[in-house]
Amino acid sequence: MKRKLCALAACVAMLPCLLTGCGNGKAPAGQKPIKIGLLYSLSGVTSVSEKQLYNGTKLAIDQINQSGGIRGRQIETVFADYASDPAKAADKARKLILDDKVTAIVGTCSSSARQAVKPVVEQYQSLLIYPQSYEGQEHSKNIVYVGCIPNQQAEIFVNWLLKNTGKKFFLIGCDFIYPHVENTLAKQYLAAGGGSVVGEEYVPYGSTDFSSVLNKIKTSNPDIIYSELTGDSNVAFYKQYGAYGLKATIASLTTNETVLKAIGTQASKGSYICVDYFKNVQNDLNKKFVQTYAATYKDGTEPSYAVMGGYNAGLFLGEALKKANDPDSTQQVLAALKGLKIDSPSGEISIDASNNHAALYCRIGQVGDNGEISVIYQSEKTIAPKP
Amino acid sequence: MEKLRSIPANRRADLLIFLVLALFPLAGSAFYTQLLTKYMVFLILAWSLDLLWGYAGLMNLGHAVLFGLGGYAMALCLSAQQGVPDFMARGGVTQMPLWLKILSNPAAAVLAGILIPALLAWLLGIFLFRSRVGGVFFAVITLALAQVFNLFIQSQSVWTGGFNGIGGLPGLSLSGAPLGLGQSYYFVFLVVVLVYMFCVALTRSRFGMILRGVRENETRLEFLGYKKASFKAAAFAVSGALAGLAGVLYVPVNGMIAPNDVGMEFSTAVVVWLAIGGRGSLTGAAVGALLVNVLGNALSEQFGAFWQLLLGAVMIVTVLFMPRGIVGTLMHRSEGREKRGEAQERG
Repeated sequence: MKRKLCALAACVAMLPCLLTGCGNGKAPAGQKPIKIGLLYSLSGVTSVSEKQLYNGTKLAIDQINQSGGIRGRQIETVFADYASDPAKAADKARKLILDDKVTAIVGTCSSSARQAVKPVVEQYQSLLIYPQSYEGQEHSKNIVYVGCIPNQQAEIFVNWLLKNTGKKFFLIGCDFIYPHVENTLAKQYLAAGGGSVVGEEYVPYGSTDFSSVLNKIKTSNPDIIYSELTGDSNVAFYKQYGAYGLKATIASLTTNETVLKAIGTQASKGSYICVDYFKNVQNDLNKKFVQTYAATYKDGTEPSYAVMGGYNAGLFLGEALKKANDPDSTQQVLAALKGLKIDSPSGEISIDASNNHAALYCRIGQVGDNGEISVIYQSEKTIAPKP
Repeated sequence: MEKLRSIPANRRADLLIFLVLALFPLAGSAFYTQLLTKYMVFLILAWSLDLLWGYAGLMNLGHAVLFGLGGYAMALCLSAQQGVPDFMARGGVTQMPLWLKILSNPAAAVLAGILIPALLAWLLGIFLFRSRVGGVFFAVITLALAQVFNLFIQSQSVWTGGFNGIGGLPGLSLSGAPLGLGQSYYFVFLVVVLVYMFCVALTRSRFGMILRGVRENETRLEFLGYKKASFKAAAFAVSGALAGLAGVLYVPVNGMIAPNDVGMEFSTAVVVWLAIGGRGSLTGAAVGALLVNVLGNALSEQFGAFWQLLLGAVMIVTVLFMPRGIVGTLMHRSEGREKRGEAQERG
């Protein structure tokens, strides 16, 4: 038996070998594929958003591969799940760079995960393409940000709401960096535009009980509930708001088509959303994209700004790989991304060479009686990012 | 050879684990060396809980609080090296408060990171054990503590970085010179070996015997004249100090700390390592911590989205069929066989 215990210890001791012995799916024979890391959480609290980001990126890369790849070379994706844990995101990023030797990583969703990965990509001079909208105020030369930031979204939204709906705002968000920064900015925009803040509330991430918050909203009597709630909290808030019967309208920076399905039309109709892309954007490219998406994914997700963020990240990366002389060289791909223009279902968009952020359209949508979002405002041209 | 045989089987198993850990960087890739550095820090955390749960029979469901106190002390220290940290500046802080100035000295941070959790554990212990809180009530109170601490960290975002945590921290360095990957690995390895030796000595000492007495039969121990509350509180304090030390090491190795690392979820994870590996032998804690983490990492690479389900299945099977944990079950079986053997000889 002592032998047994030693045998067990030997097994445990062998475990580290298990660590090293793992390979990923091999690419078909022929030319060596170009390796790209996909760093998304398909498990954990942010998995609902990240599933959409993942779907978008995967679809873009699959389409590039189907149409011949990068000068005959296929793109091989190496997927890593970080389970919504920022520390694990940093670990997995390190693994993708050091062990899988990927040219670039596409991924992360929350600001905390991106901030955890930032020092890693900087240390190894690698490249992260970040697909999600976020609060701005960051610039890393090793990260390219393709989601929208406040000057492309909130600033326009607040002014539009002031002009078209009402002046009294109630600010609400989950208690982490993004909502705090967005609401601080919203207060500046409101002060400049002649609006007022009648209340401001933060709930813990994942909280689903809004009875006291709804009471406060009722007594402060706002015209607009300006929200950056995310995930389960967002769904719960809409539903309880619907049941409570308030006259203020919800204006959200984070709700999208997939989330609306969970909320239901009853609680969401009439509310406003401002992002860079909606499923109902009218152009031929988008029409085709929506069809392809519905045919490819039957997992309950809808084309949304999150899907489009992931998709645009894939498109930008594909174009940059084509433009670079050596697509295995991270530095050349990074250089190729600067100033790069692509035709996307969300319009013709580009990367600003001076700050690595994307110039995007700003769109405002309203949820109709049928639960569909109709685009009621669209900026004339793309808006230059000012992070 | 005879001398080797006189060492208990589980200590020989420990030696084997250490041997592999010592040799790993020579063969393993840079990434896995880095990962294993982190898992070695978890060994310290697992042992610190084993002292409390395995030896004294006190299941702490808020062990990550003690770990987190050490971690946040170190994280605040590292983030304050160039003046007011970013996340504080964002909250409107313009001048370093006095406590942060003191904490920005690494030696002070290490001390605070070990002493504060020890003190908190000791105080809690005094209150809880004097009023005869034990068993499941102790577990529930510590569980609540974990949740409270997590919410506290999230709500004080000006001082703690809130939900996003404190990140972008530099790695280990000794007297100003940053350590390389291999150097960091062996530095942590050295600390792990020292902590292991301390734990073995402690459990063999009179103090360790009394703790086991607390676990087995509190009443008898009281009749023998021992103040069990003081011993339990002391055990809690030692466990807290070691958990704090693990937190202090974790932050530079990991580069960040977030509320995830200090709440209920991580506390439960530590309990799971011990439940799987086995309690009260130190070997079980080491086996559990390494097994669960390495397996979790390997599964997440092979199976994408549903790796956590697989890991859960492994846990359920272990707990169902080996309620004493892997090492605990093996040791129990061997003891049973030896006793049967003796009985036959006598018969």
